[in-house]
Amino acid sequence: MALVTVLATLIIVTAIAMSLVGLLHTDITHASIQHAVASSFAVAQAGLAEAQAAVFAASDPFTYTNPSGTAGEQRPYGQNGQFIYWVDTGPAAGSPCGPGLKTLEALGEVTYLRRQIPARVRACGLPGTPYLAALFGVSIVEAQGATSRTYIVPFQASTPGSPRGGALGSFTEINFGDAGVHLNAVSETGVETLALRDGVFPDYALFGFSSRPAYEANPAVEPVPWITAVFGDIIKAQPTTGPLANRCGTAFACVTAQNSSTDVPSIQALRAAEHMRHAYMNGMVQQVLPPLVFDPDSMRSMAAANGANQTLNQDAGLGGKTDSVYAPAEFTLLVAHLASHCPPRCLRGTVYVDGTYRFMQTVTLGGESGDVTLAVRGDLIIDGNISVTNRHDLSTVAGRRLPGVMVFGLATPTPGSTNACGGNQVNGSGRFILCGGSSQRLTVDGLLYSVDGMVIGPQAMVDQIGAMHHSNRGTANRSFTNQNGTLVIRFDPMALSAVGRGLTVVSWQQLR
Amino acid sequence: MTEAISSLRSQRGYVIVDVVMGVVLLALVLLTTYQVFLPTFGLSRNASERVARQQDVRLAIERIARDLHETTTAANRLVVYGPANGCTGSYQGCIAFVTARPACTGAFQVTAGSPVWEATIYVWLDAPSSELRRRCDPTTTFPVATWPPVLIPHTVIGTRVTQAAFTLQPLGSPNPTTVAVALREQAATAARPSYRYQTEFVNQTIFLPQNR
Repeated sequence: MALVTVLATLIIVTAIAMSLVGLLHTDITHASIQHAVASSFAVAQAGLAEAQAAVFAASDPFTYTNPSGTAGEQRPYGQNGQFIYWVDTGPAAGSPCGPGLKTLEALGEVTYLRRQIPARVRACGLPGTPYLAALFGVSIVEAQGATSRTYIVPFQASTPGSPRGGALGSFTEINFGDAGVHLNAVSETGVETLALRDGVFPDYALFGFSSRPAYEANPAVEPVPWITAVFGDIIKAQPTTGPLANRCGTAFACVTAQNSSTDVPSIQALRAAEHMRHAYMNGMVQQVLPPLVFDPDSMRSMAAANGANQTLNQDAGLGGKTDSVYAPAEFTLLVAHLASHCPPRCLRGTVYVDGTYRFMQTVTLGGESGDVTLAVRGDLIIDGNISVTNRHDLSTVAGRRLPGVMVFGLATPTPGSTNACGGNQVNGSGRFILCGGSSQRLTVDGLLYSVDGMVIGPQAMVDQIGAMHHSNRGTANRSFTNQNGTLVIRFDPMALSAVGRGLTVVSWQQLR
Repeated sequence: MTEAISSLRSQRGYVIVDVVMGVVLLALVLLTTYQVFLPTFGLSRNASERVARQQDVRLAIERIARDLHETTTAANRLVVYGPANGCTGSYQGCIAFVTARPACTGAFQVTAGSPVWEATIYVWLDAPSSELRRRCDPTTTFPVATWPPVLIPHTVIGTRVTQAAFTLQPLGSPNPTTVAVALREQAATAARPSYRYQTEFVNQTIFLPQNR
């Protein structure tokens, strides 16, 4: 009897113990599966980072696809994980991100209990673009004067903030020289319009708004709708090569108001405490960015090989000239001819002016949808009240990537300097100067680059679809000055792919 | 007949005392076993409850994880509300952010590679019901300035949540880059006065919105 009792007890105890173990095991299994789900997300993100690095390292990021094609690049990751990534192949094929963009997709998997727990992420990236900034200066970027107007709007905004406006940045300093400076101040006191190459628009419409925002009297309170979300950031940048000295003594570029050398920490502080009531941006961010360098010799080679302007050369009195490399005097002849014949007979391709050049008459270089890149090996000056147009075919990716104007400067600037206009001194260092005047207009597409800075003179109007990058040759010159002029950049990030290096992610999504 | 009776008498059998003794012994053994297992049952119940609650808060966070990853830190597209801007009383841990998914569930929309914002998601804790709730507003991509927005209809993404906090980080920065989510959930057994184990569970996770 006792034996039977003991046996029965043992059976009961064993059954209870086993069910307890099973219960605990199930709970732990559930928790572990959730941990595996989180891990697989991290692994997928690692795969995406690997894909980005591969495009970044590619000699030609535009055409790069992952070498294994549809099978993807498979790598083990962590203890039980692995990822597979694709660049424009497999599930990332067919340009789901759109033309001219790279589609990067990564599948992260973590093995748990012989089950694969997956996560899938996708990013759209701009190849050949090391960073996104609509207007960037190596040295000081400044706006001066009560009638200075700067709008950095998105190219082809679908809805407000989609995409956001471009960023404004510097490696050293961004200075707001006057309380009257307007930056993205859309119709503050009434509807304000902008006459651009394709029509007259209320300024708010360029950001995708259908009506004028309602402003608050208090500058610390944002207008409704909350417009700052649709603008780009101010980038306080530092080059990858190390900090550049500035008068604020900060490692990253500083934002200053008027003559102060104190770094302004935020847009709110800029608008309220510093009384820059007409300055609107999303925020201020610090970034470490690569310095950009363009090679004038490669531009010269392209122009030397460009025979598309042979007939035009002949018509302009440059008989026998087969290439597109011009001395300034030759280019003056060509411009005189273009002024009365373009359109329809316009320049084509890369054009190189070997020396400082001054536009003295209104001219269109390439017509309404051309493919001209104007490269100047000296300074480029546009006389007062003169209009210069250099537009590209923006319906194509190639047209959007094409640089517009590149001002390289002389290999060795001249010792003395001369007054270009309005007190702006030039010595061939690579300055780009618009002298101003109510009839002055620069209409340009693509990247606008200068080696030693750009000045927009009083009342001048710049209508650009693309982006600007202005360097500095170690002179005291500012990289960019808007001196009571109006600048409208419809920021097309693709213009920065003229750099040809790197990859910038413009959107990210989780597919699974 | 006499032989038969004498044969039965010669066999040994159970008397009532034996049976009573056996039952008592069995009862003692079972009682001892139960006593031995009693703390184990408690431990099991506690472990089970803890895992269940942790999974609850994890699931609640998981239900908003993709939305938070896919949103942007652009000014006023991601808003955390405090008592100063209306998140008080029955509301707690109020946050709003935009999504590029139509009706908050469709395919992620891009144009020229950039996200196209389609709707606004509101998440908050309804303190009286201890429910963590989510509302999708497909009519706007600008979160309201002051809480509450229109919050009906909504879905419940967590229950028995006693505290919820959303924090933009770095703290106090005008340009936050991350969102910290902290949820505190109470065990169902917490109401039992004899319950001796942990009754509240907290999960804190940091999300990095990936879009600009």
